[in-house]
Amino acid sequence: MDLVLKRRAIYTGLKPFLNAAELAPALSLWESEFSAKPTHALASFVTRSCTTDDLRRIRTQILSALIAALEAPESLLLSDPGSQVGRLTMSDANAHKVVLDAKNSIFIALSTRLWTAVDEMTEKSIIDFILRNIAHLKLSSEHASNLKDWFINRNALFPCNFELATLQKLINLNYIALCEYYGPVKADRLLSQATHAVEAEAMRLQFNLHDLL
Amino acid sequence: MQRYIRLLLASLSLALLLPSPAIAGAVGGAVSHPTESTIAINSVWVVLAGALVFLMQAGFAMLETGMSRSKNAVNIMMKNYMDLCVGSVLFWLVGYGLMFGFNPTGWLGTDHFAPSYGEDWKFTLLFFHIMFASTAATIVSGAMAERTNYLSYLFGAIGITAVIYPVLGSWIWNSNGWLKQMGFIDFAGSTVVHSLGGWCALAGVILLGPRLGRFSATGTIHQIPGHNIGMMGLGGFILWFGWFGFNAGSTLEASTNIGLIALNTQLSGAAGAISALLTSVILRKPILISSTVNGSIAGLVAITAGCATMDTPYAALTGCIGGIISVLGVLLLEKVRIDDVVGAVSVHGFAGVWGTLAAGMFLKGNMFNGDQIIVQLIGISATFIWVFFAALIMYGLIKVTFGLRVSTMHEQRGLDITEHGEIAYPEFTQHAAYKTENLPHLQKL
Repeated sequence: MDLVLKRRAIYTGLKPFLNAAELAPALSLWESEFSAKPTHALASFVTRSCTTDDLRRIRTQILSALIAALEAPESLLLSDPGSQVGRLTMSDANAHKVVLDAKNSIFIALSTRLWTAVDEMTEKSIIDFILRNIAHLKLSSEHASNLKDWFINRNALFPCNFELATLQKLINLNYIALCEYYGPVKADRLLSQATHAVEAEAMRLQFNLHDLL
Repeated sequence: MQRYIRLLLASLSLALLLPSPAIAGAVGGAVSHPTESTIAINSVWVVLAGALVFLMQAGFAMLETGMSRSKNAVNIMMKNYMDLCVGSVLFWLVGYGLMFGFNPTGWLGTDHFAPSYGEDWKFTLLFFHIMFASTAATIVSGAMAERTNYLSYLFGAIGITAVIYPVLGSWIWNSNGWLKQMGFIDFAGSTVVHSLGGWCALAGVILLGPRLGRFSATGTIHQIPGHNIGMMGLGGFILWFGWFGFNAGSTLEASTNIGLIALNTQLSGAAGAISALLTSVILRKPILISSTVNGSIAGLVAITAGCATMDTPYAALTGCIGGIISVLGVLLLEKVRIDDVVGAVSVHGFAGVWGTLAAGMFLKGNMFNGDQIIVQLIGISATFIWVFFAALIMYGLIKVTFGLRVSTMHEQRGLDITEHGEIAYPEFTQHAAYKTENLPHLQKL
């Protein structure tokens, strides 16, 4: 595993637990002292990175997340944050808040509805399917990378406002994945249920939900 | 008085439909010196039979629609409706000439294109054969349902009725056809119509690929049940009813063996349904109406080649084996991940092969004649080679030019919306993702 790939894994593992101010020193520490060490040295890295009581309480969780990220396929890793050595805080592209338009907000609501209707394993498989097919959307590399990051960490802010055609294709990818894992009959039912669930929200935002379908 | 009129009408009808031995004798001599009344009687029978074959289109349309999802119901109906229309015109323009025109080489007819004048009897035959050509074309629609571009499908139907079907027909049913000269038996078209339809369908579904989610990458086979079981069952009944015209009409005269042909047809269809049901039981599969109806159709397909040349017990046996083949064929196609929505390849292709072979094996007065069986095998093989590869090339060309398969977005919405802009059951889709009121607002694909 090369340094960049390892850094992406460490970043993916740490991101759900550390904020932007904590992430940069942690990544800097890992890169300067632990990047060349074997995996078991991660325990010591986590101990030194957890500088607050809150973080210390979840050290085991963070360690597990790091190990899982190091073993995860490349497609599931967040994009490379770049070297953070010597930095006090991360310049996180996702850190600035994007004001989402109606179509992007409804897209998030509809997608989330679709994912909450399935079990955790299937949700992971659906996301993996979408990640494998994001290249077909012909987005710029930056947009593709940001979108990929959002699909991996769906609690993060949506990266930017995408075109309607892109959102439509993403919903279609969701549908194809549902067909793959549940069969087309259940996929139709789930799509219909999700559509009904977000209909009111779409009306409130004065957006035609069926533009996404 | 009314009673006498009714008696008179009944007698006239009987005289027309069931000719007396004297009239039948005249029919028997029809080939050499047909009298005008003989031609009239034969015409009544053949046109009536042709109309029954026309009704089979309705049967196919209902069966295929019932076996598909409701979001593709309009599309399947439209495919069946329009392949009859384009098939009729194209067969009149080109197909009839290729099939029944002067055939010096044994491979192809060379005249009688777009016939517009001639003897009345010729038009009777043309009418009857138009129905057959349309039947051959419509078999394909069910197999390729739910993911085929509508116009591309119609181009395919044109290719079948204008070229693939008539060329094969000229080999087997033209008096100079090379297979006809060899003594190949296919009385009403187990091979010419049904195997042809089955092999065209096989080529089409191979190039199309399965519907979204039918076979998942993890190896799961997702069943996609039809939306209207009643329509499916009624389609089966109507097809069966039309088959009496298909088989008994193929005598092309009001002859005395019509009863035997109709009886053989009936018993074979019944035996096919029973054996399909028993096969499902033995295999511990659910007894589905789709496989039972398919079993009866497979029985009907199988007897079509030998319905006039087989003793009744063998007709039942032929149908029985046809029914078993239909169930096993569907399972085989599932195993090799070929998505045939209605089981057309199995029912028409595989059962058609068996029926053609059975026509040689159980030939009345010449049972199990090795030479005849070899001729049947040659005909079956030649048919597969011509039809499958011609269809593969045709659909391949359509695929690279117009596109054969719709996009995944079309499959998500359903072809009723994307290809026709309407919903089959607008009052009953309140829980669907797409309702009639959404149609004007959908983005064009």
